[in-house]
Amino acid sequence: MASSANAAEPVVAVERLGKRYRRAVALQAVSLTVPRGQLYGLIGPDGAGKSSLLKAVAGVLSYEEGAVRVFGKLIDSERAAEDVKARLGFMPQGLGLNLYGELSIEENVDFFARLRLVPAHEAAPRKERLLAMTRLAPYRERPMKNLSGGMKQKLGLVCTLIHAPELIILDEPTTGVDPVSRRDFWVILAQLIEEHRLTALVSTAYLDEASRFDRLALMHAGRVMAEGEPERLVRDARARIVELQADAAQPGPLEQRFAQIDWRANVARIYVEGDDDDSARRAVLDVVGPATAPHLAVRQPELEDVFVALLRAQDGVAIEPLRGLSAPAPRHASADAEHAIDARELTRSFGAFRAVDAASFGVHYGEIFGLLGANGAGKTTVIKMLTGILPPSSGLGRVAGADMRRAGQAIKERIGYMSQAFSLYTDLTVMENLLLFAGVYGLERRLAQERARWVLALGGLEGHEDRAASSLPMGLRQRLALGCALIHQPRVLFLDEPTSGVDPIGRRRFWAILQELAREQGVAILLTTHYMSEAELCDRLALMFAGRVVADATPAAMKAQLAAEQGQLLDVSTAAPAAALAAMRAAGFPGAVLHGRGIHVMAHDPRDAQERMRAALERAGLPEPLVARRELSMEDVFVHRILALEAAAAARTP
Amino acid sequence: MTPKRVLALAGKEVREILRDRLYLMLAFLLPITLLVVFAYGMTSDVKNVGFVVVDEDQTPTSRDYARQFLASRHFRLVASGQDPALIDEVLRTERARVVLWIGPDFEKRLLARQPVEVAAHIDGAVTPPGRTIRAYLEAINAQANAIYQTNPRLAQADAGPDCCRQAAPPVRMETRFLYNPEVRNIVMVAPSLLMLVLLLVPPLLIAVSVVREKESGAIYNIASSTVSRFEFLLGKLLPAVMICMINAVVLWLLVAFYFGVAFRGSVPQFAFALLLYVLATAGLGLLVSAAVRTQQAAIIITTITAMIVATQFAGFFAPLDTAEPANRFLARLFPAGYFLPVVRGMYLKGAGMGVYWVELAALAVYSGVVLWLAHAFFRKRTKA
Repeated sequence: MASSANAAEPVVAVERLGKRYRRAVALQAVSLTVPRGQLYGLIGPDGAGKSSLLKAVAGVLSYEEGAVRVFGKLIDSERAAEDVKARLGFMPQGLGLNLYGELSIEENVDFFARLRLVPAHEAAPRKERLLAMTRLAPYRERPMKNLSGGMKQKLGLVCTLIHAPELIILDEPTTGVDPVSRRDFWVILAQLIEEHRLTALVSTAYLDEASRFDRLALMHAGRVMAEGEPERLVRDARARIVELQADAAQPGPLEQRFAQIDWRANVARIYVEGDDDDSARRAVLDVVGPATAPHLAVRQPELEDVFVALLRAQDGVAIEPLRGLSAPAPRHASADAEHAIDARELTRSFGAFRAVDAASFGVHYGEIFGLLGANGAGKTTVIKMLTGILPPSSGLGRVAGADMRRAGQAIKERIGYMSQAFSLYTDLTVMENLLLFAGVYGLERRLAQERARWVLALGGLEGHEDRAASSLPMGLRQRLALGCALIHQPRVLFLDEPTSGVDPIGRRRFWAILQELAREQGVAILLTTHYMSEAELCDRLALMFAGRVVADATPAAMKAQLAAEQGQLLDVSTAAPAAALAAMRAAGFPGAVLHGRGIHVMAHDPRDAQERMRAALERAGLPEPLVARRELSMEDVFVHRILALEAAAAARTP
Repeated sequence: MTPKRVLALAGKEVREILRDRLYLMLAFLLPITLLVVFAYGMTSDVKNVGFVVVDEDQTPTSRDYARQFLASRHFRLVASGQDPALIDEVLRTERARVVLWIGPDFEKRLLARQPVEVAAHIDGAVTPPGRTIRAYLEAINAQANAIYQTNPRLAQADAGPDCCRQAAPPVRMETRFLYNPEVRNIVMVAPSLLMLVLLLVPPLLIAVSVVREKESGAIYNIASSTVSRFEFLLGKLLPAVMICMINAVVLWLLVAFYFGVAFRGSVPQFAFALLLYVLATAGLGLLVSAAVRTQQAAIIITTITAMIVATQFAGFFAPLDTAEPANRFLARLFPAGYFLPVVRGMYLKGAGMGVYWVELAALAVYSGVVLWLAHAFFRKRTKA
């Protein structure tokens, strides 16, 4: 480690960086500095310019304007870039894509070590330490291509670190990875940064990861919209979130008065400008009446709220209100008369591997049903079986009243399917795409035109009819893909990770459309997502683990059950979360997990737990933590359940 | 340059290739398939062609004339008759490709030493064998003429061989095809096929292996590290050259033993020539991979270029010396034009390196230049 380097000098300094690909502008006057020893985050949706910025810093992409300095060295030519490459590690975007699928875990690590000329006596112990830390050691012989998403991501990290770089640059390391693996990854990264005095520049499309960074830049459309410590960004927003019990809220008047309201399952989160709790409270009470005061709480906004507010201010776009339970799913008189989707003991094996193991669930018309689970849990395979793309090994499935085994074609006409990689024809215009899909479903011309207009209105695509699909921003492209899946007005809709990589405003609009489809048109919707904030919006959830459905309930019921089993959720804020976590686990809180920069613990007796925590941290020589009670979120439920199942699975196979 | 790093890169490459079944098939089955398919497809030996005789004369002399055609291994009698309507019928139904028509009074006019006309109808819808068939027909007819000129009667079946020898013309030319006494087509085609297959496969393999790393993003492992461009290129070149040399030897054995084309040269010298050629063509693959970004583009560019160059600009069908200056210049831009005379000379005629040192030196220089160009075009810090 070059300890002789000036500690005050930033590791990365970017000044008014500009980059374009032919005519498309990727980066515009981007400036930021990354101090030594920090975890620096770049946050933004797809197409924000994160990858271009990271590549320019890593010295693998040239740029036209501005300056990039790494370790004080101006990176303006291939030769200049070479000078700093020994001191940095770069992990490009795409889960495990930069690794070598045919090679085993160990061979991949060895290859990177030899490539970087790490002497064997250094490489061997470092490899063992990194493999142990990432818990990959037991699988060292396994070919990379057979790893799960979370394991690939950790292997990528090990390979990036094998030559002990001072700066690591990670491009969306957590995209497409389930919440448990993501959490695991951040814990490991935090530990490494602490132990090795690393500097890390990391990008992510998940806003809820923002609080894990020491410092961050919010990016949108090639620009940095805000930069600084997370706390400061929140403080500078000068706003409050007023949480209101959903049954006390009055959507109409509230939406008229406030531009940014986030309707979650049981609370409405109202973004109120002004740096003062009391005036925020009063502003809301003015609308809903003083009687609701007991159902109201004022909180600091989260980074996602701030980001949405910034985007709103910049583009002047209106925010679609999201209503979780504000309009309950219509229950027909014969509620259980017929399921739109009825899966019974669905099973699918690939050789000896059972991808889906006797999965059973039902989805009603007008219901939004979320399928959750880690990568490789079998979600996509379930969707492929229900859409007739893949025949099941055994079990039954009925979709829109038809047996999917016998009525493959009939099913396809009654369902809409949007795959992970929005399957659009990017050279065609918006209208051409819609009419093409209408043609595929055999709609006659007049009807096709009519439906296309309906889809355009529904998706807010009016005015973009003649644009090529390739030129659309992600959010519009996603809504076009949805529109193509809806053109034949299916009664059942399957969506496989429909919102990956879309900015928060785009996601909100998308969900508003889904809710309209379900509530007003009675469409049954089955979707998968890695965003736990979206899981909150589903009417019902099924949690999958190793091919099995291990839980099937409403989000509220899942939370209630966890609360009944484990007690109250406590949020512990401390200056050294990694060390505090270790101390707490040792002190009899095995369920303690890192959440943002804090720690989440569940306890039946909060007061007693708080005492024991204080004592444990004091013994470890750590400062006194700040403990607050919190409502359970779906992420807490997901992480808790999956960790418990993983522990049980590990216990069965020693 | 650090040999250790080149070894690490090449070793990784070999491991990946050995475990990737699809790439392995591409690497080892494609060359063999290409050779066998083209060898069978391009040899147009004429054997046992369906032959019909329409003899309106029906005399011993006319029958004897027809028999001379059938005595060769080229033609096989399918039918014979007297009615000219047979001509159209057999050709249209593809029962035969050639119909020989002998008019009435054939014998009478011949004995009277008047000009005689016969007609050969060849199925013109299938052209390439058609030309060869015509050549054979004319040759056999000329032979018959030579005999009839001295004494028409002597050609008849009852005439003994002694009479024939007596009747031989004073100057008789005997043609022999050296290095290919049986005039087998495969002997002419096989060296060109070695040239073609080894112009196509090495660039294809190397371009695919580089470009797929560009597609996946694994190229960033190299770009963001201290590995030099030259080390990376060598790491790709060495395994590809190794594979292609194995292929070259397999093709060589196939040509020699399966197709029975005798090898007359020196084994180490020919192996050296193959190595230079493979180095040059593999280097060409590196050049392509520096320019393109998708595997499809790499595959299309390498295969189409190889096919066009091998068939049009390498002296495949006609020697380069007789080609247009522009074509000759284009041929000089690719290694195939240098290699083809070498493979023909060394393999078929047993010539040594001393004869072809200019071409071999050209191949060596060519490899160096291509590698240098690939190095110049390859960027670790790209524009997009």
